[in-house]
Amino acid sequence: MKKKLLGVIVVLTMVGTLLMGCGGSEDTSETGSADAAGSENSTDETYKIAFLPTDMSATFAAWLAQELENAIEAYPNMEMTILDSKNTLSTQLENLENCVTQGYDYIILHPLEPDAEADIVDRYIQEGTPILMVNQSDGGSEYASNVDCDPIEQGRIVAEVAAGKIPQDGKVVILLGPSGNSHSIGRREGFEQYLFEARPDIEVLDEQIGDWEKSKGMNFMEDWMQAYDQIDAVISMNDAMALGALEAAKDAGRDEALTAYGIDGLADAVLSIEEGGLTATCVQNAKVMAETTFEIIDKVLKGETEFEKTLIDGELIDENNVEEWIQIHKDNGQIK
Amino acid sequence: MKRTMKNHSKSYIDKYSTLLILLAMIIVCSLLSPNFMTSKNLMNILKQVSIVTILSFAQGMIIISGEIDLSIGSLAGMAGTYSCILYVATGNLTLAFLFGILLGGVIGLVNGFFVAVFELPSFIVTLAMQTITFGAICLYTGGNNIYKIGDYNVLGQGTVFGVIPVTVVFMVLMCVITHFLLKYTKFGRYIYAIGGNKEAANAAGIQVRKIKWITFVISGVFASIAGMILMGRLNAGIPSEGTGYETDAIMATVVGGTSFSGGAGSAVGTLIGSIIIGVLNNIMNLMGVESYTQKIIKGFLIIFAVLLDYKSKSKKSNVKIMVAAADENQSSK
Repeated sequence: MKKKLLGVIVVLTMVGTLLMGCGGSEDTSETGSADAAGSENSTDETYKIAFLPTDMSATFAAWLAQELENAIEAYPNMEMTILDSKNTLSTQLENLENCVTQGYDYIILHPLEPDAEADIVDRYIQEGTPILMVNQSDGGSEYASNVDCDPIEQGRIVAEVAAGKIPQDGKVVILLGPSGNSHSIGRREGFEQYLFEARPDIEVLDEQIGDWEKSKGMNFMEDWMQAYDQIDAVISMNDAMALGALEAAKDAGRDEALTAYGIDGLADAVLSIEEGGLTATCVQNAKVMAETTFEIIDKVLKGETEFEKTLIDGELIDENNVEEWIQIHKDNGQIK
Repeated sequence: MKRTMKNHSKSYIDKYSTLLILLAMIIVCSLLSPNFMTSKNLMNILKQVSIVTILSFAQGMIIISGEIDLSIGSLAGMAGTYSCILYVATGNLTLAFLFGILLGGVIGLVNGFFVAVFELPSFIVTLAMQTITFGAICLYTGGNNIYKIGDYNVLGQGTVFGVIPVTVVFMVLMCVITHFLLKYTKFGRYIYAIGGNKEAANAAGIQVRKIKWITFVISGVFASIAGMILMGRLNAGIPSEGTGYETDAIMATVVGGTSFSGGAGSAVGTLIGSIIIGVLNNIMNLMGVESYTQKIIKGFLIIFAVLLDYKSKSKKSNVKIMVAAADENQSSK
């Protein structure tokens, strides 16, 4: 019985490899002919560009990848390959190394740990492969291009709205991202400067690490509502945790008595703002980020510059412009 | 005679050692915070542990049988999210729920196939299945979450008679089912036998493969139910929320007195183990303990709980061996 099964599986695997093998060879022959065509018209060389996202199962990385694919269409002489780092630094470094050895013309790195990767990135650039670090700081890299949205700035944008809405002597709870995460630390700093220093009457009841997760935001809020009779605002370093806290507050009938602030501005957040749940959030516009990225790549490949570092502005989303953002997320497929 | 009486009361204490830890914790907590001993707060704790507990029942059965299932966390995320997708498309909650269960069962069937039929290590098979299931859901959603799931959230946020959360009802129901399976069916006794000594179980005529296979199917079904409740509670289909739950489930199971080497454990013990962890998280939040300190305290308590349980168990087995040796001496005389 077991032998028979084994036999069947072996045969299936063989057929499978055979088929895959065929597919593979077809692919190579196609690119081969494309290359041949390219060398005939030797004037327009095709640039091979690699994008190394942090984690394609994360909503923002997926959105960024999609916007990069849209943005590259304006540059017919470029083609992009995506290699997922699966939220693991070692995988990202392996991918980076492979791309360099395979002779990619440009690498877009969406770094997991910019500070740890900066030196390696600089070395590869000096060896001849230009690299751009997107959606994170450049980690102190000297030669890498950088397109980022300043996290302190993101915190400021939401903090200023919160400073106007939280009542006198208000009591707030804070939800943080994973410990050591540079965006969580930066956003928290933005809130410190533009909310807590501007409004010293506000009391922070508790501050906990929710690891960006909705369920953790929910659990903390359930416990907090038992411990504190008055909570006027939930300040969260991302939207998911704020939305989790709102679910808990709704369940306890206390959501009307508080305002909630997040950062990210993805589909879940704008839908909640539309329903009157979340009060405000700040979005890092992946479309602008992607377009800026390719403008820089184009300049570098044309030899106009060696590298360029740009900060794009975060954008506030609240009840006043939520319709516009619902449309944007409908266009990019996040809201179906 | 006197000695046996003493042994009796001692083994009674040993048997309920995890329950005693929980009771001691509850007393200490109610002294520490006036907000702890309220019905609302206690219900919150049960609500918060319910999803991990259901996964722990699945993990418990698998561990008792001497295997491990690392796929339940991401399977919960996958089955829960696919079920949300189907609900959004059809508006039929029963259909969506049954589809989720079917999906869980099928994944369990595949896990069991490789573990039972090919005798591959469950650690590897289910680790592989963890990435397969997560990939399978992300492939469909493209990394996006599923929003506007409407009335699907009754699975996680609804109440029965207006007071008991549906999640808690599910947890109790799954506890009763697991308890019944383990205690009162042949299948349950076979699981213990296989986990205790596979060769002996085989020699005794137990169909080891079939039992293991069924255990993985049950595990998959339980995981999918936990996943659907999780998504209901979150009021959204979020595939990544399930990941990592498998380790929480292992923790709760082991704190609840399940032997990691198989052959021993119970549904009620698992329930208590899970509640112990839930109470600890809750009291630390009520008291505003800073988050890094929370992690350290939690780690130490878990070691302490397992140590206490392990000590009492090993003492008990020593006693058994001694009694057996004494009996043997007696009979040889």
